[in-house]
Amino acid sequence: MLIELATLGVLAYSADKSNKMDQQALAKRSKAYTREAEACDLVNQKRNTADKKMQIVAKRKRAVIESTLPRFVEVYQQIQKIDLTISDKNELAVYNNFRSSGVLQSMQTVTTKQLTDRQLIVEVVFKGIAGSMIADSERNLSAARSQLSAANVVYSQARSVAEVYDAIIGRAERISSLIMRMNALFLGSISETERIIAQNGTNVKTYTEQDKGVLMTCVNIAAVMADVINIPVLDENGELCKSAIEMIQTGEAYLEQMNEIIDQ
Amino acid sequence: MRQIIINEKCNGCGMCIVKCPKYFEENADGNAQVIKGVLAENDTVLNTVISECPVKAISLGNNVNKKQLIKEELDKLKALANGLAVNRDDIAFTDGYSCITNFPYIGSSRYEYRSSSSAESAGLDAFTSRAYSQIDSKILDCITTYRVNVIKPYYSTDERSIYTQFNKKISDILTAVANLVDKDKLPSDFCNLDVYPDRDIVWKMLEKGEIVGENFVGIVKREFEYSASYYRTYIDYDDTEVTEYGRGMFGRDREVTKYNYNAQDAVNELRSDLQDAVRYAKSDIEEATLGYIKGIVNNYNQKLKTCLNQKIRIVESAISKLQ
Repeated sequence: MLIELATLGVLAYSADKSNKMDQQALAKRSKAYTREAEACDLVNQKRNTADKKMQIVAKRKRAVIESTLPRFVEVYQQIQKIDLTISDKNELAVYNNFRSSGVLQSMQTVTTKQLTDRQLIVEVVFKGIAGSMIADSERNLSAARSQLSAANVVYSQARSVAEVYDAIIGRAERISSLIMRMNALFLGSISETERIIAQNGTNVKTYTEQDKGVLMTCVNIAAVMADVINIPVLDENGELCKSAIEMIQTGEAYLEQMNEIIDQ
Repeated sequence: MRQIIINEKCNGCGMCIVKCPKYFEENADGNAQVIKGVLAENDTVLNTVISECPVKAISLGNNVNKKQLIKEELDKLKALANGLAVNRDDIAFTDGYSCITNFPYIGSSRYEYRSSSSAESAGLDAFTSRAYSQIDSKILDCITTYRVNVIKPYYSTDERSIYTQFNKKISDILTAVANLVDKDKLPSDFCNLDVYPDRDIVWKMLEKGEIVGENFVGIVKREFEYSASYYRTYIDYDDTEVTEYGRGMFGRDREVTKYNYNAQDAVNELRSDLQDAVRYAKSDIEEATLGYIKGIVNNYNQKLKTCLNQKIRIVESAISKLQ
């Protein structure tokens, strides 16, 4: 009788212990799955935001090409009709550079380039880093404990991916803002140039030094605008383009300089 | 005072946002939108921007009655003061969450069993230890995806939180009211709305996956009644002649029949049964979820009502002072 009771007691203890271990395993798995699901969620959110920001950059570039550029082309044709003397041409050195460097053509090709940027985001960032993330999680799905540690690895990788996306988002926002501000300046300059040409006609003698300065500034802004509009967010390797940083800084510095002149 | 209208022609060049930040801001798509509650005054810069918009997307509407506009915004606020309503569609456990993945592949084993029954038993053992034992884990996987995607917005405070989004909606109306009334006449935090439910026990348990872990696995398992031995019939076996070198009489080679197993059909059947069980549990899962969430949402609604009523009183008093 006593032996039977003791056996029952041991059985009950073992069952209870087993039950507790099962619960622990379930809790660990729950945590692991949550980590994995949150990792996917984090990457998806960042990818969507980055995608949206890239679309906005594309929208800004397209707006410049579709609405500002045609107006500039008209103004530019009028500037060409003005009978500039040799010395005037020297003064408008930037204008000549502008004409020879084919800025207009390069501005017209940016829409296709922008699509490449968006493809790069998906292909390089997502398939590259997140692809290895998924592979890692698949390799480590066997036991609850290793699953949890794998899930933590997945989560930390997801955070790395998120950081890459954050950098892309930051860059896209900066470019987008720069294009927007440059475009406002460009539009203002085009309007002013149109007004001066309408007032003075094609005879260069009727132009004061200040008028010539306005013309030069307009062409100058167009040249900077062309550089700004060609700034890629990502290079062909899907990395944040280093040369773009210099272009952005140059653009921002130019903008600041112009705003200072306008404020004076 | 006239309303400023931006039509669908806006191409997002941003000129108006740069030149007139007092009236325009950028929306989520990068296009320009009029700052809520801002009306056009006789402003030369605004008029220049309207005339210079490259796509002529900006225009001025008719004269408006400021007091009437505030009242309209106030009505919107009063309607939202009732708070969030959660119904079953909001927390639907769709078929996508019933998808069971990552079951192990238990294909053909080596020919090493002396009889068909021992091969079958070995197949069942492999199936039990590698697939059947994963049932809880697989259910949990489905449930967790559902929890993170559907339930989480009800117990989080991040951007995707249901409360953050609702607060934002109300904040936009408050901003419109503040711009119409005149910000200086209102408290500095008038447009801010930072209401969230208390982090009660249910919230914490949801956050840790506790109640949707064991409870939900239990709900699904009630719909799944098959024992591991039920899948014995799906375990296939095959035989072949194998030469055993030096194992015959007097050290000769011998030919014996050996068997192997293939448990993949059993795994596939288990996956299908489990998916069905998860699908059958849909209604109970949604019921339980609604129960957990309603408590949290009610708490939010109460706090929201108190906060909004206070703001509504401030607006009403501001309206009475308007001429």
